[in-house]
Amino acid sequence: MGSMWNWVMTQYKGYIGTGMIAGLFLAALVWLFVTEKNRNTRIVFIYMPAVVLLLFFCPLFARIVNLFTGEEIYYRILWLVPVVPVLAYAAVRLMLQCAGKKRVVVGAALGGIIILSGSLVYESPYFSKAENWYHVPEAAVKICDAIEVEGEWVRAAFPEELIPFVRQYSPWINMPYGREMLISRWSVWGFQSELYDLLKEETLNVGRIAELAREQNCDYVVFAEGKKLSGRFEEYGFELFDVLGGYAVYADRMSK
Amino acid sequence: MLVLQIGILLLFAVAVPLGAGAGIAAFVDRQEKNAGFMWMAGYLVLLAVFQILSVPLIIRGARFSTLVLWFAVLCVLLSAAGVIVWLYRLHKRPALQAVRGKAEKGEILLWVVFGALLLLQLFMACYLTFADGDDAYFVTAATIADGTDTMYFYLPYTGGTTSLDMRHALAPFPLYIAFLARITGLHTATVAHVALPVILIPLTYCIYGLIGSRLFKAKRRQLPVFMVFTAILILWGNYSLYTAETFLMTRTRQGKAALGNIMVPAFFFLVYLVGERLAENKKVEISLWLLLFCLTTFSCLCSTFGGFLAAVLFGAFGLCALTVYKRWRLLLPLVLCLLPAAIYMGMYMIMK
Repeated sequence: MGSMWNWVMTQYKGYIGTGMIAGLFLAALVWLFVTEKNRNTRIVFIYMPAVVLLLFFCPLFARIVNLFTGEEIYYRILWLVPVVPVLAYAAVRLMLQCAGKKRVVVGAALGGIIILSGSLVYESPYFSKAENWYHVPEAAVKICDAIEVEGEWVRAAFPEELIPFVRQYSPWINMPYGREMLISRWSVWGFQSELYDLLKEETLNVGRIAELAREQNCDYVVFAEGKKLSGRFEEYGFELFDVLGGYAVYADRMSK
Repeated sequence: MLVLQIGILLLFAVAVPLGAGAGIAAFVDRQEKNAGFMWMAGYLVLLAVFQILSVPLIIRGARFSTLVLWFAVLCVLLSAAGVIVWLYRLHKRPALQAVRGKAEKGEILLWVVFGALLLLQLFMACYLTFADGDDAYFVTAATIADGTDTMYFYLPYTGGTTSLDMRHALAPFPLYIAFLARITGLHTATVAHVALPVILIPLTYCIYGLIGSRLFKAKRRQLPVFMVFTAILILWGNYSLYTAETFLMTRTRQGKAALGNIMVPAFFFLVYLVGERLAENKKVEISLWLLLFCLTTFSCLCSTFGGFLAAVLFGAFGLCALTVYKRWRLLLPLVLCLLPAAIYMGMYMIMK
């Protein structure tokens, strides 16, 4: 049970980040427990979150949940704790304790505390300006539009940065490997591809790539335009189809 | 063309749920007869219907077009029925309008601040893109369904054919994206990354607004303050990658985001209404239990884990409410509301 408790605590620490918002929430919960008079509000926004938190920290509960769902999503139990409404409610209640201009000052101060304790979502490094209304890289759109044949399957090997987006845009483009390659821990399940690894190299081994691409029925091979090549794709039956969005697209002359 | 597409999107994402929700609102206490309640209720009902309809069709290997046709027809029928029921009940028992005093200047200003914060979020949802690897599964599953007219027949990551993946087939939220794409003619990627956040972020705030309106029922003027704090908490809620607020702002198109940001707050709102009736010794309307039943079904649509989360919530509420109110008659409807979770989790255990 001790190791399970440690595991639960690791999950909790990972979820709460700096712990500032969690601290505010616990303070709000205690303050509301002391001051809230409405019985229904107490049940729904004080007792219920407390029960959920108790369950979350119970090692036996964690063990049972993990048994059925795996370890990756246990943190979602914490979604059942209504942090946003409880904190917003407590903040308004605190403001109501004051009158006149003091109320405005308290409100602004509480807003400031929340802002300083939390983290603005748009500061996430995973955000970037959308390149189009599909919210997939424009290069993927251009390449898919160029190689797609309506109602027919086309198979292409893409570099890692385009892999997650290609099939979001076009269901008709198949790939010899997919997003499995991008998650290193999934390699234990046998998700490996030499072709994928070769396309990541600084200098592309043209002969081996052409051989593998043909073996895996790829009609096209796509890679960043600036990559160094060990030879010429033309020598292996491929021809430059186009250069689109900074990517060279080579077509196998021997494919259908 | 684009105007027409947006019009159809608004019809199915706003007007149709409003109509269907009106039918439910007609049977609840007068405080809940407002557009926000109808929108939330309509969404819960329609997406529960979507889940009930789609899972058997997926298992049977039906075409996606069949699902689109049936669901579109049901949407129109439920919406029309909802409006007719609403008008009939209104005619029979005219709803009393709550008398509201004129809004103060400060109150208006706070609503403006909240509106600006909401608009900012909607603009950012369109202007920025968030690179999330799971989209390669969920958005692609929608793109495949719309493009190839199949459901869970092809592997999203690579495109090869596959045996039915029960884990995802039992929680087919991506098919709802594909449905919206098919009826509007918009690309599934556009619906997933742009249209859905523009619909679901306001829906989440609508539910928080409903919660606030109950918490401050005697002090309605505090509602805009509550909403401003809510918006700040969501905007600055990215204290880790895992929070529900982060999921709302970054992964709105994934079922798990809907689970954490629509299902969970809607549950708290609905059980708050149930608690109000218990506290006042009033009968809990069947329509509220029906909404909680739909909520459980909706949670199963969002994620295979959704049914379990619903069970934890119902369990926590049951424990607290039974301890405080000592109404054992609550047990039966609570258990009945959990039936969808039991059924879909049972199906998963048997068929996985």
